[in-house]
Amino acid sequence: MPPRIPNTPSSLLFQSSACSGSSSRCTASRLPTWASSCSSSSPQSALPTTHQQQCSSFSTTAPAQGQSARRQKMFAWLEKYGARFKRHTREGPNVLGGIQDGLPIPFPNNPYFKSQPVLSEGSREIIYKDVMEKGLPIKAVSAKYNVDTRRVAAVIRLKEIEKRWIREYKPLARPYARAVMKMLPQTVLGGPNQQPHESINDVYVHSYTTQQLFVPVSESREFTREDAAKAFGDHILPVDKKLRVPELIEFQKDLLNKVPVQEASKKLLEATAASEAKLAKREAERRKAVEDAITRVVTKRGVEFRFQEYNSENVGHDGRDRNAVGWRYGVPFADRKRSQIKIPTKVE
Amino acid sequence: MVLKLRLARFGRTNAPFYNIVVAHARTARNSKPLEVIGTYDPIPKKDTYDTTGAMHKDIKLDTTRAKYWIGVGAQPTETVWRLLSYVNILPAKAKSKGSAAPKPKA
Amino acid sequence: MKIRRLFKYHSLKKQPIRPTWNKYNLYNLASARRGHTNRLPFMTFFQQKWLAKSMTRAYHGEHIKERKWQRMFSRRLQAVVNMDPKYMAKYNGSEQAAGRGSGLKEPPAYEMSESGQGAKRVIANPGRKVATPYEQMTFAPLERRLDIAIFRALFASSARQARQMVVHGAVTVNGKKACHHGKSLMKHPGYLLNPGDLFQVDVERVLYATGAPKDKKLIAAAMKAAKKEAEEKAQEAGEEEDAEEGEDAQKSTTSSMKEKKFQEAWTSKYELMELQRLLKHAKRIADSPSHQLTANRKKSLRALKRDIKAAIEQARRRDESVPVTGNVVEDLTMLLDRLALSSSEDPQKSQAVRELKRQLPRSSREMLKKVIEYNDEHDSTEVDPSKPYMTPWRPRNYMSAFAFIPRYLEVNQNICAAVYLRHPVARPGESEVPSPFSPIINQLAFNWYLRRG
Repeated sequence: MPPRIPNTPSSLLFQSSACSGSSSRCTASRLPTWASSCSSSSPQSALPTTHQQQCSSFSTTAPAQGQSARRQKMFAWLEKYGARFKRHTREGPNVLGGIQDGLPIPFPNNPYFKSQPVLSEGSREIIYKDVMEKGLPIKAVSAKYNVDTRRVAAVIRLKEIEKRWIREYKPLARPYARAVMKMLPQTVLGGPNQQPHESINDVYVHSYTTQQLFVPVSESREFTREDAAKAFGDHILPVDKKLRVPELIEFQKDLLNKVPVQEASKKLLEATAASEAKLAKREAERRKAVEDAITRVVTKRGVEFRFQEYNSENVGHDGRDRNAVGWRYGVPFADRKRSQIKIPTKVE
Repeated sequence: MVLKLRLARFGRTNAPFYNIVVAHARTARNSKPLEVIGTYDPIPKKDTYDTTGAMHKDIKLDTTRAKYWIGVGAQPTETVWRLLSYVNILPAKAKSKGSAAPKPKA
Repeated sequence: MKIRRLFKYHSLKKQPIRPTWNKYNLYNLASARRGHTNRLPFMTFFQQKWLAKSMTRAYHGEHIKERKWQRMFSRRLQAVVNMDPKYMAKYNGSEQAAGRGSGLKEPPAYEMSESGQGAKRVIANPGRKVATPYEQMTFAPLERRLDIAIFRALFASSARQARQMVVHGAVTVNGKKACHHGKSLMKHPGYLLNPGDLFQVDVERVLYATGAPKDKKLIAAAMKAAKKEAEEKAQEAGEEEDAEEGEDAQKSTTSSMKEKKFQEAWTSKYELMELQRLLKHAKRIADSPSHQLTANRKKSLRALKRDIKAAIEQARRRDESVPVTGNVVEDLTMLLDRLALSSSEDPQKSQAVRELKRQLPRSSREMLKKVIEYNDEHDSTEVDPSKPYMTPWRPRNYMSAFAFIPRYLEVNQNICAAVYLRHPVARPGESEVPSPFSPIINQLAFNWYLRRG
């Protein structure tokens, strides 16, 4: 059991003498209010009831009254240091770890986790307009504002839903959004002092590349990134090809070669647009191929049957190939076995 | 023995899934067939981003093998006949009135 | 006989850190600063690992069974390195392999800027040696779970509450409640999100979960008053009916009448009391000396607000795309944003900027904001006693201390939806897994789950 400070005048005295200066006065004046609140409405609170349950009927010791020392300490902390967290009044983040290197640290013990800024409401609108109204390629928008391509796509997706809700007069969570955005650090795009939102050319560390290699090469040879990739493994791509917006390298090369910025940006825009068009074309072709393989028949009842052509001779040498159609014979089906995942693994 | 084009029920309780198979008529439903020529998922599904609520059923079928087996005299069951008639491998059966009920013996 | 101890979720003795926004948790988090790490040197390695495991598991997926987490654990920790295209354009990599294989000299961490004035930091110079905190990624696989992602997106005040939202069917993934052949609901809190998955929580649920609770005293007082009134009314009505009808029917009608009357009375009473509370609040703000709002000032500011509304109206007439949110602060900021951005392009807009700036002297901008916000709170949001949270809505206490959104999520708060962009990663000097523990604790926990030595 935690030690308790009984609610007696002596404890008050102890409490007030333990504190010093101006704080002692407020502590002393606060304590009786706890005591009164405890005596009037404490049957609901957890601690006294627990104690009464644990007290043996033959015990002659009176059950301890009031709050435990730990609770007192906690409430003292909450009133003194914790007061600034209770109601969020000012703009900007208000976290325990304070701000280090311009970024809030929510957990004082973990300096490696930083509360990174989120895109402000206006910035999301800007991104949406750039892509949906001006028709800029996503990669170009990503490079323009230093926002990850995946985030750009997500912003548009979410904005689209938001706009639909507004059209349908669905109530938005405005007060919630306002309150949350006040608590978070934000990136505001589009201004003159626009800061990069995040790094857009993150390259995943391949496990092959985490170990040291000893590759003897002649001193005269230029051992470039491409060579290094080949040394790590035949299928390892050089880092230049792993970037999300590889067109930026060409752009920077142009700038190094004193090509005017206007011209270089135009080239970047064209290159990103071309790469996206290529991707879109490939996707369209894939879809068309899938669509072509399907025969659609609508019955009188209105149910559509989709017949997909299939070669039934692709069953492998023993007829049990993994790609063979349908339920396979003589192959155990372990979907209800113990270590199998039984909930959906994807939602489309 | 008679060859049949029929369905073999797999899947789970309340979630049937059929193989369209070629098998001897007297073999057990789920026994190993001569050949699996397709699958039939009878549970209607919606498209991923569909908002109209239209449902569809998925069938995989090797049409050339189906035609071959019909050609050599395999007899499709009612359901398989219906499915094959959708892709014009067989003529659609006209629904005959009264003929479905067995005639009383004279 | 051993007396069963009550399980205390937020124990002040053990001080576990939990995935909640509770004030006890805040205190425990703050006092964990000194923490258990002092004890580590006096422990065996096994004890250290055990302590680390129990500490971390109290926070990371504490509602998930240990077996399940063990199966999710992965020893492969994902990390990224940011490659700077500028650096890559300049060097082809051979500078790092030159000489005896590690470069002729250390690549510069700082570079002279083009103008030659002052050094500029090179963003991602491979020569900069900043450690990647891999150990902080120990619990990264858990962040994929749907319930934990909901908690991270600030839609729920605890991971358990997020889980309940999913189980109760308030969450959709990719716009779908149904899946599994369109049969069962998407009610799997353990669904592992895939990159690109969009999840969305019912707005009312989010408002309830993150909003301040209803005033209990107010509710109790309203209940009491309403009960009294309802009983009186029902009695009167009952007496009247008594004369007309028989005894047997009377009992049931009185009870249902009572209930109905009670409902009506309670709603109106509560509404009234809430309004009174608001009035008090408004008075307090108006009287508070920190705002220093004299009557004249208020008057002029109100006029200013009207002007701004008119300006926005004007701007909208010119440009259809200016959205109307009904919220003056938002309208104003958006307008300012838009106008400030493109003032050079569009002469009409720059005119509007000037107009606005003329109406909005810098000195009174702060004051204006206060007044607008104050008005906004009371004008736009009304008291609605039918809601399960306090109206007008405000965030629950101590929320701000826990407010952060990790980078692997993109959240739109207006519709309470978020996209899981990618799995969390570590990068030099930073880890994206929100963990309240120091690297040493996480490292020990990782060692525990490695199950080696």
